[in-house]
Amino acid sequence: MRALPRLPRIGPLKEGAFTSQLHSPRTAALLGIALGTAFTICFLTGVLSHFIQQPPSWFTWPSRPAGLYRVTQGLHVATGIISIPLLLGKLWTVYPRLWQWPPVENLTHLVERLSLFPLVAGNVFLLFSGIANISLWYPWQFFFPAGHYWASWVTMGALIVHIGAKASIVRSELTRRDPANLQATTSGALTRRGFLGVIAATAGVLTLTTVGQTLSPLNRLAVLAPRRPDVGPQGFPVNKSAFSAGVLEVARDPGYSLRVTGRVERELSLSLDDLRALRPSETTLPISCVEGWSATVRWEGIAVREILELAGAGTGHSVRVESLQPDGLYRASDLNPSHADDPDTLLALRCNGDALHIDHGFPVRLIGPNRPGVMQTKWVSELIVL
Amino acid sequence: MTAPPPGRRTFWICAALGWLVIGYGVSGLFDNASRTNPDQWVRWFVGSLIVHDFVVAPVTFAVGALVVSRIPRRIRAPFQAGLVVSAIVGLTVWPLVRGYGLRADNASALPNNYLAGLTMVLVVVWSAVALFALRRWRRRT
Repeated sequence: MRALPRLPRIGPLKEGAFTSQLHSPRTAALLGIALGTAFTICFLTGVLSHFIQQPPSWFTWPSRPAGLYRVTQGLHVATGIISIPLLLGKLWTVYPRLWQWPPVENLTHLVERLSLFPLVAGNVFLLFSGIANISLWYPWQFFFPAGHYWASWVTMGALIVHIGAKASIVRSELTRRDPANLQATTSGALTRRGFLGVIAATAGVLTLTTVGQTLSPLNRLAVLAPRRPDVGPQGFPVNKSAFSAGVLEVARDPGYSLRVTGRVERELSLSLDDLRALRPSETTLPISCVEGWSATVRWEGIAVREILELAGAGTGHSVRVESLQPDGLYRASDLNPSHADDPDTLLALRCNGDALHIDHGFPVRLIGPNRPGVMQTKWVSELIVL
Repeated sequence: MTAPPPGRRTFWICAALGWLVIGYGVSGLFDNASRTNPDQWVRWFVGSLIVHDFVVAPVTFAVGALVVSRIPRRIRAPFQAGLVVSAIVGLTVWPLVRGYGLRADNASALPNNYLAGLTMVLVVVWSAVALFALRRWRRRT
């Protein structure tokens, strides 16, 4: 091999530029396992939500258990938040290796180092964009769910390469006894145990102050959560307001009617009074956002199943639910047969004891068990049996 | 020819699979260009790496060096701990504190006073730091 040019040994290239004993394979291995686990849960729950919203032909999401979606997306955001201190701690630990010279030793090293680019860029990108998204801040010009989703595949691929490259060193680091590094460092700085403890404590502080946005017993601690499950009109949050959806006038039109069309025996057009005269149903279901917050709400309305029977549509159909909202990706949603036929899937007219607030979808909104919030279509104008 | 050692085999299987998955992600990015806007996406993706490796990390190491040279040895560890927690929590909630996502038509979005929340968290963290530091100071004198 030809000799590489000698670099001036300055800055991070200087011999002994990084003095801390914490830049060790053992610290990296321990943080790596924690981060890899959190990232994998985050990835799987994220992909799941994507499949539920844009189901591939082989995928069907059931309507039960009713609270499953809520748990998966609470986990998605919580594991993402925990990953922030884990990632920053991990990158700090291995940072000196960025400056290793020569940069590449052989072919396997090249394959491994190339994967670090999408791994580091992807992890930082995913956590930054995820945090910005739950903070409702969009400084970029791409559609967040799509950009975040495809970045997660790139990052997952890079993580698989990385695991293959590091599996044997992680195994040997974890089976080796290593009492020396646990002792106090000569500089009086944090020991490895202290450092890992601080990273864990940071994850703990972030979790305790945010997870109350979905876990109601911790609601009062959620001082840093972007949402409070008990704050909003009628006691729970709104994601898209009637104003931003552009429905303030049409939703209040006294001539409102719900149309039922598609593969039905008779098409229906039901006024609000017609709807109120139908057999009422009641249910308690969460409204659960992909952004990690959720709230349990008491709903009253008419079962979708009841309306379909009135129109003479049999069971086992999918149903498209259309909104008065003129445009936007979330102006309609599909009920697969499991959701359409579930007796708890309602066209809600009331929630928490009052008529729906216009920001919660007045005059009529969809609410069903085990569905993402963006698919609980508000300001419903039409059911189309498919 | 002898079989490759087990570590080697794992490496190449994971490398092949991993780069395949990366390829899937990249192709999805371009197949959905109308939504992902690859030009913008790449800028933010690469920017994430640059900002971390050449801004966040150097600043962290510079602050770390300052701590080692300025903070007395026996309270150095709790001080470092306090800085790590404060910096990461502060960075994470910065968009909330600045209220970038506030919107006039939706009072349920970002309903808290995040500056007050962050201040409260920092007071708790630095109280714990002070307690630890005091204990260490006493023990060593």
